[in-house]
Amino acid sequence: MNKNRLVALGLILFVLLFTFPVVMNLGKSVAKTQPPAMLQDQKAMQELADKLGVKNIDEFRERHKQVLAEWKDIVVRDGKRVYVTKDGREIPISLQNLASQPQYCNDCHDYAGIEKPNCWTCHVEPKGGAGK
Amino acid sequence: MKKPLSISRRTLLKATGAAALGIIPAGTLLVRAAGKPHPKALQAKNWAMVINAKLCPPGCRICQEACHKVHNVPNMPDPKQDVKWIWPESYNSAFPYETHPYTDQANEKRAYPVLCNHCENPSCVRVCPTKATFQRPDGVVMMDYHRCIGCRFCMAACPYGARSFNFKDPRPHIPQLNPAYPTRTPGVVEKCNFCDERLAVGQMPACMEACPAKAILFGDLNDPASPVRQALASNVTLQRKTKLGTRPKVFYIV
Ligand code: SF4
Repeated sequence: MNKNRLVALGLILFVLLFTFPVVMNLGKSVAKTQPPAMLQDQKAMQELADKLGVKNIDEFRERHKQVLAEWKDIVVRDGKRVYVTKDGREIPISLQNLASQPQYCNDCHDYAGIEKPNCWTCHVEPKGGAGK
Repeated sequence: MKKPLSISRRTLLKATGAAALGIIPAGTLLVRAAGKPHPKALQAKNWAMVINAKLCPPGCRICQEACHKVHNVPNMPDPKQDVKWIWPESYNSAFPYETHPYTDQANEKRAYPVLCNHCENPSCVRVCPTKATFQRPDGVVMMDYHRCIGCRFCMAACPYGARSFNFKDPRPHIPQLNPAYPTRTPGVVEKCNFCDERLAVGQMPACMEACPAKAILFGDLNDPASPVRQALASNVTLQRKTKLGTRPKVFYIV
C-alpha cells in the first residue's frame, strides 16, 4: 500500500516536471500563432528583400543569415562596401539601412520562436523604433 | 581459417589519399560572394604612417580623442581594464632599445603617440587561433570581432601593448555613441584598425585629420611619391622595438 502511494507520487511529480515547459508556454504559443502584420505588407517586405539584394521575401527568409555573413566578409576581409548580387545589382552594404526598422527583425524572430538577433550588442541599433 | 581482407592496405591508403585530394581543392575553391569597393575608396599596396613627434604640442591628446570618438572606444573607470587604440607614451617606454642614461632630456619629456604598428610581420596574426586577426593585402592588420573568442593570445604576442581586452560591457562607458561604427562586446580584443572603415569610403585616418600640428602622415609605403615615403627619405626615423623582427609600419621622427 505504502509503496503504491510512493509510486503514484513519483509518477505525478514526473509528469509535472516533464510537461513543465509545455504547460508554461501554453498561453503564449497561442498568442504567437498570429503572424506579425508586417508580413502581409507586400511592399515593405519587397523593399526589405531589395535592401538585402535577394529576389523576394521568401529568399530573404531562407538566406538572410548567409548574405549577412557574406556582407561581413566583404567588408572586414576585403575592405569593400558594395555587394554585387547574382543578377548584377549593386547594393550598398549597410546593416543600419537594412534594419532601419529593427522591430521587423524582432517580431519575425519572435513569431518563428527563435532568439532575437544579437547584432545590436555591437552594432548600434537604428532609431526606427527600438526593439522590444 | 580467417578470410583475407578483400582490399589491401595499400589500395585502401591510395583510395583515401585520392579522396582527400579530391575533397580539399573543392573546399578551398569556395569563393566569397562578389563585392565592389566604394567608388571613393582609398586604396594602397601597403599602408603606413609617419608621426613627427617633434611637432606634437605638450599634453596634446587631440588625436586620441578623435580616434576614440569615431571608434566608440570606452573610457573604462578601472585603469586595469583600460581600452585604448592610440595613446601617449614616454620616450623610454616607446623606444626602450633606443635609450641610454644620456639621451636628450627634452626628448625624454615629450609624449609619443603610439598605436598598433600594423607590422609587416605581425606576431598577433601568427598566434590567433581563429584568424580573427589577419593581415590584409593592403598591409592593414585587421580584426574580425565576430570571430574573436577572447583567448588573448594576440595580447601576449604583441610587443607593443597595442591591444586591449573588453573585461566588461563597454557600452555604458562610451561618452557619445557613434552609430556609424559598432561597439565591442565583453570578451573581445580590440585595437587600432588604421581607420579601415574610413579608407573604405575615401577618408583619411581620424587621428591624422584631427591633428592640429599636422604631425601625422599616412600613405602607401610602396609608392615613392607618397607623403610617407617622402618623409622617410628626408628624415631620420625610428620604428619601435625593431630588434623583435615585427617590422612596424608606424615610423617616428624624434
Ligand atoms: S603592433 Fe601588435 S597588434 Fe599591431 S600588428 Fe604589430 S603585433 Fe599585431
